[in-house]
Amino acid sequence: MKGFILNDLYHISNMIKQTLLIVVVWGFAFANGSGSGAYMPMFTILFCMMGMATVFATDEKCGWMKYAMIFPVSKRDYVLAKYIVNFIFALSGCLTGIVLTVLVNQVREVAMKESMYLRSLIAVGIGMIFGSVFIPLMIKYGTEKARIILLGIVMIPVLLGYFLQRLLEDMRIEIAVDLLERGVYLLPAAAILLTVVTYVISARIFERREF
Amino acid sequence: MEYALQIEHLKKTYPGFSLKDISLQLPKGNIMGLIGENGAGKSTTIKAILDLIQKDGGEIKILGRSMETDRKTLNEEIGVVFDTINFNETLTPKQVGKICGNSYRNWDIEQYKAYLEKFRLPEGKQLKTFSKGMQVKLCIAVALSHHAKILLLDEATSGLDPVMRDEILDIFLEFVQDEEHSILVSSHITSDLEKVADYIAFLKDGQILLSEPKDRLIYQYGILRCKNGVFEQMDRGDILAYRKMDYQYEVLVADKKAAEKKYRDAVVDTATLEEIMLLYIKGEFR
Repeated sequence: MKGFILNDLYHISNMIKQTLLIVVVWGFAFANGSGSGAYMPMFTILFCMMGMATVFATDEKCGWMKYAMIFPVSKRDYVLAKYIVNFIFALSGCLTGIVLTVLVNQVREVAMKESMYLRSLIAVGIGMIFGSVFIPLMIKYGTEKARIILLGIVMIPVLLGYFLQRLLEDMRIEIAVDLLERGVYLLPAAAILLTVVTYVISARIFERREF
Repeated sequence: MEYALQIEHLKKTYPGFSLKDISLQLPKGNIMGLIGENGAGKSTTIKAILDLIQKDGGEIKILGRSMETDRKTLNEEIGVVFDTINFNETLTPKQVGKICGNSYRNWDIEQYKAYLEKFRLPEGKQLKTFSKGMQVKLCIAVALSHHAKILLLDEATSGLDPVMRDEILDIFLEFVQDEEHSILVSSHITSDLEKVADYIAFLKDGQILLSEPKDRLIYQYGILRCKNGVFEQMDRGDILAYRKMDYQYEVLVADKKAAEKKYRDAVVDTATLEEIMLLYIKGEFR
């Protein structure tokens, strides 16, 4: 399984220069407009999550999935390796975002907002949730179809949140901001739970897959 | 006799194609060639052996064990080369070595480096700069560098020039020399199999049409060429397959010496694997 993780990290490392360039350009461009650059971790996570799509797309293109099955590993190990890589991407993206935010703030002589650490935690949680949903879709449907399905899945909570907000506004119900923030602290736990559940589903799908 | 590979009544059905009751035995220390035209079922058979597809029936044992219960330990002892390279093209042979080193318990880095040197493969260059032949050589280097007991090669030498193929065939002969190692090679380059194979299995439309020692095919089988009159007089039991050409019949016979004595008005030549294959594919059966 270590070999599989290494394979994915090698692939991404070959693209690291392009990815960092985009992240840095976006980061400074956004930071100049927004202030302390506290949104940086979010953007960084998004770019890192693109890495998962890239990793799977490359696996499909070069037939790595078939070849991987001739290694002395179980099919579950292949799936587990993908989840570990997802976590590595999420964490790396977050750390990169924090470093860039600190740099931007130093340049602009702006104080670090407390919310940056909360946003970083949210970003890692979202990255894990994104990967947890994306991985079984990619294993089942392939990268192309999975991207479209994922877009649909992402739109559902966004639309639900929008309509819920409108409904609450119409009913003149206000939700305290600190309640929302407390809810956000549950995000890592939700991410872990979703990771475990989707890993079991992904492993079952992959066990039945033919090459 | 110990077998490296035993396939009993393998069945697999796809829409429009099926493997029908494939049975094969590869004794240890031997090379078996699996021949057949495109779409005959060679790759499907190999995928079934490697448990890359789910069989609809039958049993497969590799080195006396089943993939279904012993996948991890068996894959340590199996080396596989497919017809295309399956590593990401941005990797280098050095990185491939590290990936394999972290995957195989018995990975022999010194042996791998020795093969890279033997095959003249630069360690630090990305695979996308490699020619097709170099990519296949890398895959062969990987397959030979973890002390595998059995090699499965699926059209591994297709696309290689004759010089490279000759070099690789010598390596295969060296691999089986100690009689503990075995190779199953699927190919439609029959001349390669004539050089190295001990056994030949011929697949057509998902069925094994023949499975014989190569020497019997080369030295005992023959192509009988005769006119229509002689052909009509031939015993049905002597005809394995035949083709009507412009001015004569070509008939595949199992015993060319007996055919020479029996049919004095016919010419009997030694059959090459290619001719045997063509007669079985394009010929008719009486």
